[in-house]
Amino acid sequence: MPSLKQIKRRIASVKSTQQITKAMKMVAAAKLRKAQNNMMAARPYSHRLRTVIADMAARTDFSHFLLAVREPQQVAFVVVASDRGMAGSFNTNVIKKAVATYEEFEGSDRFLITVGRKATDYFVKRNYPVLSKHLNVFPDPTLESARSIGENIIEKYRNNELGLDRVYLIYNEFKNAAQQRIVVEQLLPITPEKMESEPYLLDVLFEPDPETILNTILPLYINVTIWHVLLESFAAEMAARMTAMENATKAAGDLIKSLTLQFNKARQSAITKELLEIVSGAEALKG
Amino acid sequence: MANNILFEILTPRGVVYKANVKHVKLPGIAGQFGVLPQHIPFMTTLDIGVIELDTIEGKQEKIAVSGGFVEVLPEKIVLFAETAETSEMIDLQRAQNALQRAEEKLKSATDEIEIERLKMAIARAKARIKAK
Repeated sequence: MPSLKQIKRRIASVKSTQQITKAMKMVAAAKLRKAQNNMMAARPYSHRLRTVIADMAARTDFSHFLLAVREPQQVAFVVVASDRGMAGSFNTNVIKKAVATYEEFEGSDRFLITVGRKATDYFVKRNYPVLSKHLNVFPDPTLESARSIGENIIEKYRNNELGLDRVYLIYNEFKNAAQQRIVVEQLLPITPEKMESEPYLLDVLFEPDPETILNTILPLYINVTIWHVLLESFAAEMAARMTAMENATKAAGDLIKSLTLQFNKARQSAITKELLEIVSGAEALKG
Repeated sequence: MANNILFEILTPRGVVYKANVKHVKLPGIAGQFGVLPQHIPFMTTLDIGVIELDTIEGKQEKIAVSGGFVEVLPEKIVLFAETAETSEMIDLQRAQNALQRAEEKLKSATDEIEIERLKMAIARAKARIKAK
């Protein structure tokens, strides 16, 4: 049986761990809110962009290399994980899904583009063909980092030697604070949405020409899509961390409870023992 | 006949501007151009520069924009840009510092992409200063 002092020390150490996990949970909650606000702010922009692209694509009189569908001979997977752990199965899940998807495309030349240290470390260590790695995107995903990832992907896509035919995004989607869902989404070629209404741009003039406009719009669209995915993944990471830290805080609480119980028992038995000694001593004196 | 039109600026960070205006001057890729209400529908790409607009209250406003494109529709004008800042949002000191830094770096830059990037940064900073 550990001594009273030892138990006391353990309680103190578990308590300070609990304080850390509690603080981490609160930080994650604040960051989650920020990411959600950013996601909301981007919505009108990306929604309207999608409509414009759908409308332009509904016209058949022009094409663009970011829209053209080819056989997937060369495929790249953009895997978005986090830079840090302590988020439950957040990283394991997305990496597992990435490996499974990678296996699915066995007949093609496959490449990986990693975002976040956890994904990068995993795939680099196992000698997967990693085309490019993006680190330090988190904990504060910015539009600039989304843009540089987007530019990098388009460059790889356009590149004649490499000539990617298809690019997929694999990431954690933020479903709600308690749930994350792994999503595999095609980024390139861009699949325009089906128009529900009549194309509204039929009588629109394009200055100087539709191709120049598409050259501007499509990269903007890719950048905002990646920005959205970064925020989505970051929100999911924060939610996962919140749950993990909540559990850790609870576990620490349980531990403190059982240690306190142990402490009290030990103290009680010490007191009992002392009492017994005194009583039996007094008893002996009476003779 | 309407003498004003809804003008919206959308960016990934949110809606920067949304109000009815009498007239907008935009930095088109082939030079500045103005749009009045009742303009024929058209779409064009924009250069880094300054938007000038006349509000229905008769005020003039300036907004710095980092390129993008604009749709002119019968009922509204929608501008898409990665960044756009109204003059209240612009920090003049910061823009001037950015301009100085970029010009400094440009003197010693050799990489083609880097030079291109710095030139864009200079254009953006100049647009900000002009819009302030």
